[in-house]
Amino acid sequence: MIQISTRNSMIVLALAALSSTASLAKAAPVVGQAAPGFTAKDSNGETHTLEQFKGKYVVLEWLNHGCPYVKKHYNSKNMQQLQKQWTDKGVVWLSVVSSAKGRQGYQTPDETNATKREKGSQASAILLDPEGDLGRLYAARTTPQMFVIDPRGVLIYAGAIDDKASTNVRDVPGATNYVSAALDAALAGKKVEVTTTRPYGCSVKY
Amino acid sequence: MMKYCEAFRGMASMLVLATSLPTVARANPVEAPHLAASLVTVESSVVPGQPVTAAVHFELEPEWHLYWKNPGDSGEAPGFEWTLPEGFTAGEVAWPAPRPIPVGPLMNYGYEGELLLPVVIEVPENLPENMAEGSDVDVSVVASWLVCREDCIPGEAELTLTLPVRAEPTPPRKAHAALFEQVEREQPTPARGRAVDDGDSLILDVAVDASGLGGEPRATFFPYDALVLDHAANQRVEFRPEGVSLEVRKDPTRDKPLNTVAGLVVLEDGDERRVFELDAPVTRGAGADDAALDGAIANASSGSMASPPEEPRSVPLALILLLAFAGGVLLNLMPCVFPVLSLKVLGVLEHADDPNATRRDGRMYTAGVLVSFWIVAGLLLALRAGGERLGWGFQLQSPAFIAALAILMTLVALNLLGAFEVALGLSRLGSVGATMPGEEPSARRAMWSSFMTGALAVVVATPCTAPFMGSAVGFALTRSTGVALLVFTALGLGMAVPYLALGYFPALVRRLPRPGAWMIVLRQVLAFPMFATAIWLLAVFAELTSSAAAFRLLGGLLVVSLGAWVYGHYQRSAHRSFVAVAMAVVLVTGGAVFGTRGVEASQDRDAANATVTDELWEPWSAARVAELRAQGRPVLVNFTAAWCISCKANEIVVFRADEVRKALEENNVAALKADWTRRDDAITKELQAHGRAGVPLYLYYPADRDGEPNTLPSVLTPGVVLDELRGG
Repeated sequence: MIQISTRNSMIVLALAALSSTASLAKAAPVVGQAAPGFTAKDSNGETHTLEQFKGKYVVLEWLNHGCPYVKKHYNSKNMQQLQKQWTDKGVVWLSVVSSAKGRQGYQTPDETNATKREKGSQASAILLDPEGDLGRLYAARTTPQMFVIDPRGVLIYAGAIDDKASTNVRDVPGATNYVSAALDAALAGKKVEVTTTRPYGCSVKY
Repeated sequence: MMKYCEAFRGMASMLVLATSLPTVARANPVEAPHLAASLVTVESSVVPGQPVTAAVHFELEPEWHLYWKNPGDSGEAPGFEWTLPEGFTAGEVAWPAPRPIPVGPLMNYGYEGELLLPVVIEVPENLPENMAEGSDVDVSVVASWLVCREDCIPGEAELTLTLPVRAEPTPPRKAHAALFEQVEREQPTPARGRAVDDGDSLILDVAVDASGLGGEPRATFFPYDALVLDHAANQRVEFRPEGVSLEVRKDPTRDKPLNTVAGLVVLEDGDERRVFELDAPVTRGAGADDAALDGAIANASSGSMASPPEEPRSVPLALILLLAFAGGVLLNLMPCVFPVLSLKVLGVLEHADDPNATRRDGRMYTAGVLVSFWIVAGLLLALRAGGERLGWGFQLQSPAFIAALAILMTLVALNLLGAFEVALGLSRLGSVGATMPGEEPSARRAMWSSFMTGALAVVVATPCTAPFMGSAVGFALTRSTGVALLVFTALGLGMAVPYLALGYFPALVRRLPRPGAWMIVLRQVLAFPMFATAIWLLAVFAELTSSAAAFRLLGGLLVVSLGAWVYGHYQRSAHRSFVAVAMAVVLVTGGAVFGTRGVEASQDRDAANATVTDELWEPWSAARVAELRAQGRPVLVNFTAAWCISCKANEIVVFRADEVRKALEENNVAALKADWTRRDDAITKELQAHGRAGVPLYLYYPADRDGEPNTLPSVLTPGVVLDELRGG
């Protein structure tokens, strides 16, 4: 009987050695599920966590001021107006810069603050993510890409800022803004109609 | 970049933009940042009633790219607004097939170098009066684009081309003729195919013609729509005689089920590209239920905020676990587990007078079963992750594993017959320990032995996919790791529960006879199921390799047995010579090596038709099923393997029965056999598509109905098959 045991333990060991090569599947945030928790520093060196905003709506906006699609929304003041409109209603608006150091869109904290003033950004904070951790956590592909998280921490919208995928400022007025639509519906206790869209824009410069 | 920024700041006001369009260059061609654009046509004139093929021609700077209609993770496809003479209409852009353009961790689809984006312009039969023969017409387009390298620059140009009106066609232009021809050649050919949603991935089987392309052409699927694929994920490609199979990762951020999938399948070998178009409904494979299940759980926990899944086809986890448990209990009755049970019964008898010992043995046996199930599950999951398309019972598709198991079984049988005692040497160790107080060493040894018996039971049980186990394991293999481990745990508990019961209800043990001389007889009798198992393994081995290799293995077994006997003789002899031990070791290892040598030599043997020996069956392929169904014939598919005893039983009892044969013939049923004796990725995939990880599986496609086949029970009777054929 022991002879079986020794033989078998060799098989078992071989199986165990092979099983250690298992890999974990890449997770991605899905609307309707809990938004991935994060900790990130903003341009003033303050640390923010998603957890601390429990009880509030949170908007994440991927940002790169060198991107023509982002420029469309900042030069037309569309983004600033959205930021003001929703932060006035108690929504936390976090812009995220995931450009890696040396790549387009990367800014030091001081440069970020200067640009924030110059553009008149009304975001609650601008999170700096040069390692790309937050970007990868949210599988952010483009700037501007938007996420809306409800007070329970559930992702309720992910995708484009609106339905006009262009760099043309003329497209701003007629566009349907998905972020406002999601927040309007959620605040009114209604179902969010459009929950996931293809994010348009420039690639995030990881 | 700077130039662009300044230009943009200068026209930041929308008013300015609306009234003057200073960026729109009016020329043909137009030089824009990083590209040149021009409007070109194939025809050199406009002829009433004859279409004109026009195209915007782009020539890009090196490293810069434009986008396909699905630009991938970022970017934007070029847009066109045509200004045409009255009555002229421009059709859709005939997008050439794109190329993948990786950008860091992201993926874009687009074009580099030089390209044409053609559009067919319909010209009316009766032209207006001001367009008489000899006059000129202007064809004009405002093209807008995003050109990117790392950074992106939007551009726009108005391109105008003047063409003379002629009554008869004039010779076509020579400019860009080769490029037009290439675009024409690479227009997609519609291809038949199917798409199976496998949870995290889509499996696309597409009937494409890859003949004439080199040995290893590249194949890529480009979806027309966003939110279908994880564009950057590696696509797993496999060429088959009937086409190509691609496994592509679904867009993990998609929150709604995918009902159809459309896009291009591009085969590429050097400069030659063949472009096919796939447009297929998505059928749900095993893993898709999981996605729906996950979605349902997520929705339940997140309240009403998210939209419910459109097709809630989830199998409750509790039911699956119950089935797995029942399957585990059934495993005990399987012929390939039975010999190990014999060992276990012996183990119980050893401790029949000691309730603590039987309980402890039961627990250790359970632990052994569970740990091995987890290890096997971990291995399966690892292999799945590693890209191997495997299923339950896969060990028995490896001739080397079978040979090793046959050798092991022979040694176990010889041990039971008393040819040698391995425990002797260890019990001498035990007697050394016995000089120390307590009996702990031997107790620990007994526990270890129980544990390993449990483990062995699992290893030999794997080929016996009992009826319930098929779907449970299929479910487990397509689930998240946690759920898969739960299912395997339920299986293991089911398998171990009779022994646990034996331990905790001593009444059962008391019914067992008292130990005595009869135990030696029983032990020797139990050697024969072991030999029987070895014979069965040899039969499988012969099926997988060749009769020559099987005979070689038999010779090896003889040498191994001789070695075992020499070792036993040394154990019993008065003077213990190390020469005998050395001889035994040499004989056992030599015999094992010799016996398994034939494996490699015979491995390339084509097994495609190896076991289709019966004229009723023809070899299975997905294409053949589709073909037969297209002919309106009902199709019966038998997924089987030489080492699957349940399959063999069904074949003898059901498919060789005259009444079944007659009924098949009368109903004009096409019978296909998918032989999984050896690893076969197409069959593995088909099994997975029906939620199974092992054989047997019987599918019946009635002639009068499209869509999914009926799944017959794993344990067949002639009645079941006859009812099915009658449409019951």
